[in-house]
Amino acid sequence: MLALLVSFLIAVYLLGPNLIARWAADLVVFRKTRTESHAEEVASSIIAAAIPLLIAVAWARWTGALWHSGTQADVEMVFSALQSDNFFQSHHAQFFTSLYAFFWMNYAILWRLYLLVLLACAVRIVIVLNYNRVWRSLHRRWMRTLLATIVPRLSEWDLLFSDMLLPDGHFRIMADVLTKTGGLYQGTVQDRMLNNDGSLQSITLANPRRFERDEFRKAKTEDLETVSDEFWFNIPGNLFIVMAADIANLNIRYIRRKPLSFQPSDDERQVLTRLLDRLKEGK
Amino acid sequence: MSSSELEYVLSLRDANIGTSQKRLRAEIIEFIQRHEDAVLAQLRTHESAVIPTSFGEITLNLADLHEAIA
Repeated sequence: MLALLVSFLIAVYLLGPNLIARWAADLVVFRKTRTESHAEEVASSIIAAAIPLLIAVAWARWTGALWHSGTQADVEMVFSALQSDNFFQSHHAQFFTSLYAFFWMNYAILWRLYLLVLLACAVRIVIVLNYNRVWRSLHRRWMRTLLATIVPRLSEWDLLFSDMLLPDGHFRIMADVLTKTGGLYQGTVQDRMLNNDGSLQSITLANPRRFERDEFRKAKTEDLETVSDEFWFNIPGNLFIVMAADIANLNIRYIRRKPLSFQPSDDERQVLTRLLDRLKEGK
Repeated sequence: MSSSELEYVLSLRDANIGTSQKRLRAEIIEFIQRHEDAVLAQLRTHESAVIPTSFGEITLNLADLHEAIA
């Protein structure tokens, strides 16, 4: 019974907060899962849970909630009775009184612990969702490095394909995909699928188009003035999936959804103003 | 990904955004200048114009154009 209680306490005090932190991280990034030994997992959980646990204990002691529920004698009574049958038999009535106090003592710590963990997770989510803004507001290198430690161990592909850590504004992620068979495709990255270890499984392109390289080469040999633009052909459909295993290389580009609206130069303004003026005149 | 790697990738991506933005805008403006009549015709008919670029086809709405010069 003692082993059962200790296992339960380890689960609720150490593994539970770690599990919540992982779930919270999964809400905002695709974490890269690493194969860890049981010992490594327990050790990392202990280290991660130690700080909120110490704060929760200090908080419960400071408010008096911990000792209001029970005493150290209650804790000793519960552990002793669970360890020894003889002790349990001789202190049967006291055991259940202490068990009740022991439960409320744990409750006093646990709700504080989980509240702290949830608050920390919420702060982490807010920081990750506004990472670029926060990152730009920090000017010292050590501050930026410290900030980066807050971000969960995320997959490199998730970082490249998600707009979560992009600067303010709406972006479109464009990709040129060269396959191992020599096909060249282009489109807007609609989705990406990752494996558990964070590696890329596939990408989905919207508005895909294919480059007819052979035809282009042929035309180029006949006429050196041939431009490549005419050899892109739209592929019908919005879900063009390319498996990562087929990709030879990828060229990723980030463009604003409203490319002209972001700080246009005077020359650009002039061209657009002229265009709009002509449009008005024609009406 | 460690914190220094994360910082490095973010700085690379920032540079990518800047370069892509510059190139895309140059291509759009160049296309408008070279094919102004065709763009005007599209804007008159559909209130939007499709600009072919090396990034793919970019659709410009009339509202976007007004926003750009506002």
